[in-house]
Amino acid sequence: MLESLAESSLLRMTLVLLTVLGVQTSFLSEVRPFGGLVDIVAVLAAVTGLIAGPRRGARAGFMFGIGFDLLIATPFGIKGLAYGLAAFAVGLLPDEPIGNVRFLVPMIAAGGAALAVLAEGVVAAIFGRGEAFSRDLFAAMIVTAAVGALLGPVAKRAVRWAMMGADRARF
Amino acid sequence: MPLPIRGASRGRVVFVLILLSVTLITVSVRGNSTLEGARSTSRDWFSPVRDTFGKVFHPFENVWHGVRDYDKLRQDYLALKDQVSRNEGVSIEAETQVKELNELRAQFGLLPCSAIPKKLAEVVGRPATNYESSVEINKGEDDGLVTGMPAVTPAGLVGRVGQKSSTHAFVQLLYDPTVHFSVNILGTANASKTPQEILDASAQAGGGIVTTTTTVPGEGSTTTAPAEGDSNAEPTTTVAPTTTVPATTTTTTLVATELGDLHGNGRGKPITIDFLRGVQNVRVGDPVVTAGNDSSLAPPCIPVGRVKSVSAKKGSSQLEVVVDPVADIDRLGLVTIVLYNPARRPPSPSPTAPTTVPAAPVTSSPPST
Repeated sequence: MLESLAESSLLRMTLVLLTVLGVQTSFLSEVRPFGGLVDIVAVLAAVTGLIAGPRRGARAGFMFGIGFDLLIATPFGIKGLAYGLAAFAVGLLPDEPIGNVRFLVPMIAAGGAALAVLAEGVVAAIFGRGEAFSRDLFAAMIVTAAVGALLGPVAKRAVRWAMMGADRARF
Repeated sequence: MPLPIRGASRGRVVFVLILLSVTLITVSVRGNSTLEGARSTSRDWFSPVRDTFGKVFHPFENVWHGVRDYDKLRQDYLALKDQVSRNEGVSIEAETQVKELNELRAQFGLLPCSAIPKKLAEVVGRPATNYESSVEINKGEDDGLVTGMPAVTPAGLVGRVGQKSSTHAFVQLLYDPTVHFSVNILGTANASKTPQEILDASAQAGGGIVTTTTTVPGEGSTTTAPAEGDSNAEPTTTVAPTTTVPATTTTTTLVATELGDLHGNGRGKPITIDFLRGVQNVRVGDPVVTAGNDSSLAPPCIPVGRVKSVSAKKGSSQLEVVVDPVADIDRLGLVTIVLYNPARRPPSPSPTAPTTVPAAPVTSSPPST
């Protein structure tokens, strides 16, 4: 039973998510470069979309967002929708050039994470939190994109490990 | 190479995702006990994980703040050092006034501010989104916290208790748009108004606010009540005896107040007061304190800040008042939750009661000569 648990993709993904959430809610909530919050859960969602494709990426991104939503005081589901949509959008990118060109992964992780942060601001504004659409949002997009570019390759390895290797991943 | 996914299938995924999310958001915004229960359980369960990561990354946080904030912290330190030396004298006077205020409140059957039980809590979580205006504290329902209770620092009000679990709670900070407090702006009395006009205006604005100033004469001296309208020309009700040597003369000064609704406008945006009623003689620099209505979980007399600017509101006859909070809301380490329950508060006297201040606030009088 323990072996099957250890081999479970869900368990591995949960471990990755808990680690990322732990860093996000402790260290990164204290550190706000240029006033923007670095969102590494968004980076994870974007990379998952890249690795798993649009359908599974959207599901995983949604679950990441719901997991994050459980821990914060904003309306429940905003992050789930934002991360799900961003992972879906990243998953729509074609396989061929990404698999062959090494530097594309950091770029896509950066763009996808920034997209997730923007989507969160837009969704929050739609649901009555107009203050979400502020200068801090654009600062957050920039710093999250920068961190996404740095951590993209690491996140890719983590997601591939969580998905039990390349047999179920695109890259 | 994955199997090709048809457009219809992709569309279905997005449709289900949006439908599910919108349903969850709507349920959450409308308030659902099951959902909130799940969230509070998750937070309680996750808090050891977050605390562990917090301890691991604490040195990195210190390095970050050391590199980024050193100059500002040094400037703050020097400014505070200067301010502390200037405040030493003022604090003695303030302590005397607080003591007298508590005596007066006791005479009217009002609970002294210092007698309200409080609970000290540590801030364990900062806002984890760009638009969230809450911090998480390590006290919850088990410690007697109720949603709406005010959170303060020694400087003043910082917010109110929001969502909570058994061991943790969120404090919604003052700049959260959903946080509202009924507040009084304590203005100096207008010299052009008669005492009765001030009284009427004060009562209309939610009750008169009374401040006291006390002079202690030298032994054997004669105390004479000052003429009304004298000195700073503020309307006063003098209750001092004109005989020789009572120890203390109490001069009660009515202060015109404005009752309004304090609320935030989002992170980084000004905190404003709306729905001002009364005489509207608000000036920049006037102090703002909580009003403590019966429906509010914030007691009166908690300092909020000072009026930063006053302007006419567009399309309205009302004023827009911006408040500069006295507490440093962005750097909270510890907060105190005021465990205030208005249901236990003794009934307030009528608004005109302060005009009949008894002439006996003296606690220790030397014998008359």
